[in-house]
Amino acid sequence: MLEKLPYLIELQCIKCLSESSGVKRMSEKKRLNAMMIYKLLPQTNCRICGEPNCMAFTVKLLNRSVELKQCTPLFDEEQYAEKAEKLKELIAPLELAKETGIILEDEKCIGCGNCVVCCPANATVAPETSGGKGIKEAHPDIIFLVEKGLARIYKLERCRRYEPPRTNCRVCEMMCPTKAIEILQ
Amino acid sequence: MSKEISDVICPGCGVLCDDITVNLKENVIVSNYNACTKGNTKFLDINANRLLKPTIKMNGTNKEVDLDTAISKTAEILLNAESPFLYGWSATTCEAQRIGIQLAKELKGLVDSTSSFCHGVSLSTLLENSWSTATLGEVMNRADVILYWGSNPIESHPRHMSRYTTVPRGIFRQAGKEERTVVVIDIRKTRTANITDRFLEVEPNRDFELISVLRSLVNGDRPDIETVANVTLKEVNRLLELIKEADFCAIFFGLGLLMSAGTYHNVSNLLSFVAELNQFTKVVAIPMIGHYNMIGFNHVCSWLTGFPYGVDFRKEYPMFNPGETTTVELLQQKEIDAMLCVAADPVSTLPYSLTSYLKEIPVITMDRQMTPTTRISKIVIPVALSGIEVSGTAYRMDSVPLYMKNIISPPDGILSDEMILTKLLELVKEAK
Ligand code: SF4
Ligand code: SF4
Ligand code: SF4
Ligand code: SF4
Repeated sequence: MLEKLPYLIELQCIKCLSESSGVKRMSEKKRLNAMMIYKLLPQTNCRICGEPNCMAFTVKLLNRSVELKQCTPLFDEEQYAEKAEKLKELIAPLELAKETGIILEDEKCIGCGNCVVCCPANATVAPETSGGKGIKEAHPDIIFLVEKGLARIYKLERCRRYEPPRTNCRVCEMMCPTKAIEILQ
Repeated sequence: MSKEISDVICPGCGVLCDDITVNLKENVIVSNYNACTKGNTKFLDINANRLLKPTIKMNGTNKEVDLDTAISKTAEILLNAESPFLYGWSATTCEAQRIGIQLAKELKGLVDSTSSFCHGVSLSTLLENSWSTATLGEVMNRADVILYWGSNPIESHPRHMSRYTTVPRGIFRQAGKEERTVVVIDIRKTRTANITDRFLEVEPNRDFELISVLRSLVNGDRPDIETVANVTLKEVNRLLELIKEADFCAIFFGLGLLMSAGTYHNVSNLLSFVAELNQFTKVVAIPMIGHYNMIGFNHVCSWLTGFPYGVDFRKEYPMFNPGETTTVELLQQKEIDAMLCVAADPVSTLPYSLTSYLKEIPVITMDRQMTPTTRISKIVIPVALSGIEVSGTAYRMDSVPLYMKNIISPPDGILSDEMILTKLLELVKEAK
């Protein structure tokens, strides 16, 4: 039961971590949530997608474990055409996101290295990063690395949001001063 | 042939990050790890607007000359001047600064750095205050309260927070950011304040009052006011409690404090406040130096002449009188009649009312790239980029000297500031 807890927390996460740190995040842009998606689905619970109901499909869509096109009624039936278009637009950022839902925007990044230093997974691969120092050479297992003045994501599979036990870590998002890092969902 | 050099020092700003890894291909820097966007341009755009040949302006057009001609003509101009002025120095090595000060002495001229209207002024408050300070490494290992006053490191010193103050884990701060409280005091909410725990918005030009109220609270007074500089007394008290209860508090003050009303009195007041706080706990203050070796000039000048900047050798002994022997006043009073400008661009950094005078006197500029100052100069001597093409010493913002490597060689025929100044010094000595 306990091992499963992080999953539960992740799915029902109310973003308490980012709000309670005293830092107002993501206020300009509304974060994508399950309700926004659910409202645009057929809501018939027809199970064609293979999920028990539309809500379950929504949650998996947010997790990126299913694809929107698996909900065939949405595209086949005329009455949902408008909703389908809206939905496609709404979840477009999800496609941009890597496995763990992290988006890194080059235009905003200033290469400050906060993400490199704060990421706990980076520290396990290259301990010197947690002490503020940059790495000497590109480590094959590193997540964040500042190269040519911009942060790059190398091995996102190491992210704690991805590797079991999946935790709702969003330290990098919180520490990025320019909001170049965004964690969806 | 490609090569990787690690532990290179970045000459991008006063943080002097010493952990950059640079990738070279045939004497060209192709990429680097760890430098921020600001530092990255230093490494990769090294040849942008690059000057390659010395020029002398004759009848309004720039004529290319060889290096020896340019240097001997420079020596001639400086020797013929009554009050030659040697200016700049914040973006070159201590070795070059040392020769520059000797040259000013030989010429019986004046020497000043860009710090005289910048953080050098903070240094001169040292004359009236004690200064409790620490190295950035100590801050990283010990500090649990960090205060940025009038400074926005995310824009000006991008890696300051990640490398030394806020994010990293230190010996006594194993949890990193979790164990630190970071406060920003500024006139507007900056990007730095995006990631700090507290932000106090102070009314512009009223920092002095805020510091004074903090000082009176430290000394046990109860000022009969509700707000000061738009900050409520409750918040001021909260800040003071936070500092007093800290194990180690580091205060970084920037140009925002120095350039608002009161100028160096603000810094002086802040340093007194820091000294008073030390009866409760360890508190240190460190200036947010911009140019990578600005504070280096102050050190070199201090050990050579006894004064940190703005030194007048016209009476054959060093004289220091800020407000008389410093750049702004010298230009205002039109006291100088020739100027040698090393590693600085006064035309774009100083107001036009001051720099318009530079069109009336011969200006000699030593720079790596074309700038507004090279455009008005009589003689332009191209130089190699210190810290990347030339090795040498620079002082980090906390006055720790670091030795910069030369990682690539400069273009053919281009010498370092130090070499050119040495040649000038020899010519000047010969002429006497
Ligand atoms: S196929 Fe579409 S309508 Fe049917 S259950 Fe799945 S999400 Fe709902
Ligand atoms: S979410 Fe956490 S583990 Fe994943 S990249 Fe960001 S800081 Fe690292
Ligand atoms: S914290 Fe943000 S701005 Fe800084 S290097 Fe990482 S992505 Fe770029
Ligand atoms: S913080 Fe300053 S010294 Fe460090 S990489 Fe950036 S520009 Fe260079």
